Amino acid sequence: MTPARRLTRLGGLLIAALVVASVAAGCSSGGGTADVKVTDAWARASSAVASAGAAYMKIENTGSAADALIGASSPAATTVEVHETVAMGSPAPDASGDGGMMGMQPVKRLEIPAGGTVELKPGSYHIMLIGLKQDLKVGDSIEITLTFEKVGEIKVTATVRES
Amino acid sequence: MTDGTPGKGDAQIVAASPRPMAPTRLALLTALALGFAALAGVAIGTVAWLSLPSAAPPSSTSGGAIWPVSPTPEGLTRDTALRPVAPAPPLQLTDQEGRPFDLASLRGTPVLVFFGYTHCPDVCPTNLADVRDALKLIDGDVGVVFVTIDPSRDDAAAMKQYVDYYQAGYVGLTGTDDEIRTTAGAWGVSYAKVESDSASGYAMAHTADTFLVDAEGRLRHRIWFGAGPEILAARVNGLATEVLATPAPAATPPPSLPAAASPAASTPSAPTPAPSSEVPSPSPATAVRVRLESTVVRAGPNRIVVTVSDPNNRELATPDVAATFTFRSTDDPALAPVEVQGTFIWVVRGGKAAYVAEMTLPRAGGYDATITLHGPAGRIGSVGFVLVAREQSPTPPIGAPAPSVRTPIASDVGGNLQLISSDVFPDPRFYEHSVDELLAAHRPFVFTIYSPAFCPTTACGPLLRYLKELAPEFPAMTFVHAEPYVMRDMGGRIQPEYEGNGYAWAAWSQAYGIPVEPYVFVVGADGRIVGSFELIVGSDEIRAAIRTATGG
Repeated sequence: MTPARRLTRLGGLLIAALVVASVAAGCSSGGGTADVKVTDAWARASSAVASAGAAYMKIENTGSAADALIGASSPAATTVEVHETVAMGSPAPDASGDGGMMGMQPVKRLEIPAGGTVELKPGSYHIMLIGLKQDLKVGDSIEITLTFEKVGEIKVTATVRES
Repeated sequence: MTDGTPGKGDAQIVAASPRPMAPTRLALLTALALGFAALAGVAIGTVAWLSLPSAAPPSSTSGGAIWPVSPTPEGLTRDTALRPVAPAPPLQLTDQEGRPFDLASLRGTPVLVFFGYTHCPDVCPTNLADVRDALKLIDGDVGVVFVTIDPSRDDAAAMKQYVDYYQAGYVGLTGTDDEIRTTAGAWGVSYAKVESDSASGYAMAHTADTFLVDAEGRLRHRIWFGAGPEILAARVNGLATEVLATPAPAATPPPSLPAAASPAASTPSAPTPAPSSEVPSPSPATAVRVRLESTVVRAGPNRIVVTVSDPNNRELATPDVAATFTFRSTDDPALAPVEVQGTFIWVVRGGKAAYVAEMTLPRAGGYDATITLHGPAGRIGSVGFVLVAREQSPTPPIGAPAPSVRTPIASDVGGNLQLISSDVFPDPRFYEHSVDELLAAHRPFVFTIYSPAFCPTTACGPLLRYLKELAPEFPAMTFVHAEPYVMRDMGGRIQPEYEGNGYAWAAWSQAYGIPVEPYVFVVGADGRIVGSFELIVGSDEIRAAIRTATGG
């Protein structure tokens, strides 16, 4: 069993425990429940010197109500935030410059639509691990706790790899 | 290059709109972005997410829709070439060891250059990972240079820890705010500090494109962020076969030019930016190209330096490749040809390399020269070139008395070496004695005329660092370093004065007649020149000359 599958199972168990709360929350957005699964979680190998690392994963909502990722934490970092890499500035990359500018911004609430999947991946949404407490070495794994609006907390284990 | 660690809190917004943008501007940009995407068939990343208006694609604000920045099928055919082909913009900053770095020092290999910062968790590591994966798909060496656009946080030490982590010989560059701003501007790179309430402090928005510089130092491609390793590798591997819209502006003066330079070279007023001539192989069967680095060839004892490459500009000089030189006088064909084995030397250890031929040319005039390369597997190839030996050289020949000239020393500037040296880490022992003092005291010395920060030639490299490493081996020898140019104090930092189209040579440079820098002279206790090394010199060559000078 791959770590990712184990995670899914773990996530599923947690969801089961939290399902009552999520139903209640689900009512406000038109009924239905959210059922969130997290798969393929990984963190990029990184030196603690870099001060900030990134983790990526797929978040799938198989429920009938939307949910949203609203927070995260990890013993591997002082602070964990959801960020998004976005293209900024003039959109047309050309030889005159000003093109291809990429920036990053915190995302307070990342909606996971009912029946939808949001992929956190390089160059897009990512879990930003701020103030790494150790080097993230290939083969290690780190724990990240994701907080969703409805299903509450889901603990995932992200394996560290190069890309 | 003296203040590599600028104060905090003075990051600049460069060539970019202040943020946050007004929603209308966002919407406009988004519309433009989508329009461009449609036209060019390009994935535009997540620009749409920025846009709040309903004109944005479905559910973009909910996070349900993701526009990938990752490679697209049409990516491989997307045009990244920059036209017209022109030399890469200047890239002279401070490397992760605190040493001056010039992109020209990587001449001979293609180089991937990109800009970022060490606190960057997503974009920069993605770029580094893509580059690392691309290198596996590329034949031959590729230089990788990462330039910070966040010098307030990224000093040389931070860059060192960052690039050392990758253990791949990447170069990490930083500089002062001004240097970074100027460099980024020259490369068409925008960056801006983006404040947010994130616990990570401010973020930097920055151009994340990767620039590809070819082995001849020309900027050839600008590859968008997220293109991926395959496209990066394809662009590097395609350099050699790509048809250039504009002929390369390669410097191809007549081969005789360096040696036959005008007599004005003996009273130099400005350094020649490209002192070398490039001579194509005369026979299509040979795959060797030679570049004569030396500018001074004279009748009598000579030391000439050449670099060799294949037609794809891959360097052919390696420690296990032998180079044999032959020189035939064209003015007097009856003279026996001079044949000599070249000595392999590193210009940059483990990187750029060259061959040195030491020989005595029997007379002034033209010579047909040939270099033949032999590797472990046999003959690699051969190439001919022409050189012209002058009757006299602008620099004092071996055996001549070293000109007595006053050079700047630490006590002239109250010990503030940064006012007399552009070396980031000047070694105080190199500034204790002036050349005239040493000659008067009959003490042997090594006199280096070189500007680590302002050297304009392709031969500039870590010369001074090598000399600093070598100095402790020879306690009886005094080492002297002087900047080649008249320097002006620009508020604690020195910069060369201009004269004509180049820098103004200092009095000692004129006294020694150097037409280019760097130059290293080794002088014996009798005040006579024992070694004279132009542009490129191997540590062992210096050692041998020092032993001669000290009678060791």
